[in-house]
Amino acid sequence: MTRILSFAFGAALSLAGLAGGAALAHHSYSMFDMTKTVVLEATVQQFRWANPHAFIRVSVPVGNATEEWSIEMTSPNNLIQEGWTRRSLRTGDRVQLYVHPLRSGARGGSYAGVRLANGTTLGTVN
Amino acid sequence: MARIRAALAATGLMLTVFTVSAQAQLGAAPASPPPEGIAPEQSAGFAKGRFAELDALPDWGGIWFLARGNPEAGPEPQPVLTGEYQAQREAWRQEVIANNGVERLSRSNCSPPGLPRIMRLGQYPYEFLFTPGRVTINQEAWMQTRTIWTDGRGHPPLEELDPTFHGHSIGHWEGDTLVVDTIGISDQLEFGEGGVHSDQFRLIERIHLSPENPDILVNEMRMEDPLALAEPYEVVSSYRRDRHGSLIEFQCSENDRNPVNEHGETLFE
Repeated sequence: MTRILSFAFGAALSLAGLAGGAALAHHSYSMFDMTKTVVLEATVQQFRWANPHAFIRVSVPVGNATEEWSIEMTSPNNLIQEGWTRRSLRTGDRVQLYVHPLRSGARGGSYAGVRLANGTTLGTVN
Repeated sequence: MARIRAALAATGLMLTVFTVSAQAQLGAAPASPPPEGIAPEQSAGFAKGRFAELDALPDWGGIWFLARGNPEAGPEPQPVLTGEYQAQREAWRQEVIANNGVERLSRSNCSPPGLPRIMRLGQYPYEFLFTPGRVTINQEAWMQTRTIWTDGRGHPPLEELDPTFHGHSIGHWEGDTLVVDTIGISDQLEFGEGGVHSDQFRLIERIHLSPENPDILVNEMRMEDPLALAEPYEVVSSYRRDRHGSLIEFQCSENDRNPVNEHGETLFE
């Protein structure tokens, strides 16, 4: 599952500029294509509520096969600010996940938002 | 079996030695000298009896998240570096561009950024604790602790300071503004975009509540370096309050999905 990324930290900062202040994180987000959003019809396999990043592993049916995706989130404390708790997801939950995919094309991405099975949403879903 | 017994015997011997030496130290003179420039009884080490004075300090309770800047504001000004430091940053930039935007890291993503960058993290909140003679900034990020001595001590001479991620900070209150002076930050750490500084680097922070909004904390940061900076570099960071929030544990190696490989490339697991 380990993949090499196109890691564009310096270029993103220097060439595009980081608007309004260098808000640095645990690592750069340039590994993700933040201009693209992919919607996954997913089943939660694992939800890890821990620093440096919360994390969701999901399975996504594609035709007769199943893909496994790794979704990185922001920090748990940042997620609390938008209404998450460590019990927001449980293994087996069927959800619609909005993610910014890895530039490498590997099955991973950065969390943008989620529509839970009961229809409520967290984050950005559009 | 004989070997195991010998090993156990050796361990027992070591324990005995440690015990004896610990006992020998009990009642001995304290190991650390009093702080620079103040009488020993002024030291933060003597906190008892001084807690009531803290009530005069401003209300910084709760935890604080970096407030995102205005996206309309455009890129932030960067430090104006001198000759070799500027050349080094430009070489770094060129390498990143030549490498398809890949910045090669020399440290793990589990290694903290140190000052001043750690005061400007978008994901992890801070808390400010007041005790007699010191302000402690706990950072959720990498569970780092900053100590700011406010007992009146000075800095030790620079040559006696071990260069570290947080350096040596002393502070004092000017009204409701905490003024912090930090030296001794490692010259291996970046500030701004990819630039490094010399061991003469100095960070001055003026931290106060916003006059317009008491739930915003403002940190006016000024950086000086006679060797690396052509002029002082100034940036302002703001933090917003979560009154009842608390910091969450950060044990990077227990959940490190972004290791750095031998080529300096960050991985995603």
